[in-house]
Amino acid sequence: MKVILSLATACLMMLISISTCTASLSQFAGDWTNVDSNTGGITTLGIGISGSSASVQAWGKCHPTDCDWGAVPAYSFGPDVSSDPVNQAQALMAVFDAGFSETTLFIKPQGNRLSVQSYTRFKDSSGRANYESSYVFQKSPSISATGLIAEVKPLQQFNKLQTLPLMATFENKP
Amino acid sequence: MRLKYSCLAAVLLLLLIATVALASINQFAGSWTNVDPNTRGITGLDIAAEGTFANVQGWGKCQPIDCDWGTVPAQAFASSISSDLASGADTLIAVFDGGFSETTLVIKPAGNRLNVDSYDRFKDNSGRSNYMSSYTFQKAQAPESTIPGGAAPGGISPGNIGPGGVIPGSAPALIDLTGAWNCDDGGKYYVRQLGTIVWWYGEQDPGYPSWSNVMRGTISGNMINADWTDVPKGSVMQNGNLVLQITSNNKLVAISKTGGFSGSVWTR
Repeated sequence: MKVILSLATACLMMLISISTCTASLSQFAGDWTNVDSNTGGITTLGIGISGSSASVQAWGKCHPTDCDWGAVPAYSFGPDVSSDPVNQAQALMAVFDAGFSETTLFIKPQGNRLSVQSYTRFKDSSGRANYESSYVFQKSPSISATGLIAEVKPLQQFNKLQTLPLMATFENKP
Repeated sequence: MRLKYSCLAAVLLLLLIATVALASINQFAGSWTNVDPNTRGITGLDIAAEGTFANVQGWGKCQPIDCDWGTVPAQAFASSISSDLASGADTLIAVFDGGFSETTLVIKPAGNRLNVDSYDRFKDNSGRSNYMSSYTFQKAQAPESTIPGGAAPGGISPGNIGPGGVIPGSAPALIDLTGAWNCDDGGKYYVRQLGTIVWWYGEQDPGYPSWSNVMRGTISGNMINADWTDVPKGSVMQNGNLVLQITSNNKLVAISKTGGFSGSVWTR
């Protein structure tokens, strides 16, 4: 029983430390997908990092394709006034102004995921209530040359090696 | 053993519910003190709520007395777009613009306390890093029922409103501010209310006043957001903004002033 309790305590401590640890700004970078595929809110985030600057692009659930909210600059926050904004960023804040409404995102790393609090306020006197939402995002499968697909490409190419020269010849015909 | 686990589970469940439960906007109202008396950040908050509106006043650690950040309107948020903000608000967001920096507070109830995440960002290119802090606040002493003697730092009193920051028995629809008012700046103010628009002419003296001003404001809930400017019957020439709280049909209290306005309480 003691062992179980000790293990549980250790797991909790790890969980807490993962949730609150200081993150580098690069930890936010990349394409992120909502873990809830049925979300009616934000489906995807694209976060770009350049030096100590960050930008966030978001997509909201729309039909037939998700709505692109555009990219906005994001503010990064460290643990204190003298912290290194590049290596100690703990949170990003991004504000999307849609005219009739404004959505503020507070983005924090949570292990290898992102925890996002979203606050939408209406500016159009429509009577709709300001509302908040919480989301968890995971890294999107990469389609870049350094991603998952690139790792399986050599195998595919190996299987088709003998056909490649023919295809190349065919494609180069005028 | 099973009974123990059941009790433990029930307590945990209760704790969870208390933490994430939906809160009415009135749950935020009152004077709040940081549970950490040694904090170097936000020491106190005063939150006034009425209907779906809220105002937050903050104090930061300063020597010899804490710094009054002033009062700002706060946005309330509920769990869904169709929620009733008055009964279902579970977050307030208040933004304090200090000129060189901007502080955004995200305020959430946690049982009978408030959890506050503070995001400070610098706008002065000073090289200082934006930073975030988390605080827990507990209710300070109950609000006083009258203003005298209870002035908060900065000379603005959070008192003069009922428990929970709500004006007892004063619906905005019943308010008629038209009339002659006296102010604690020694002036006389002639007020005209037309629906939700309020005008006044105020002067220090009816003969040769040292100052005289006009104001136009809009009533929203129990608050008046107004612009004012001196006019040349007097010799002082200033202007600015006012946020007034209608504490009753016969009393107005300034909770935010710019431009050097000196009056704080109007009565008739």
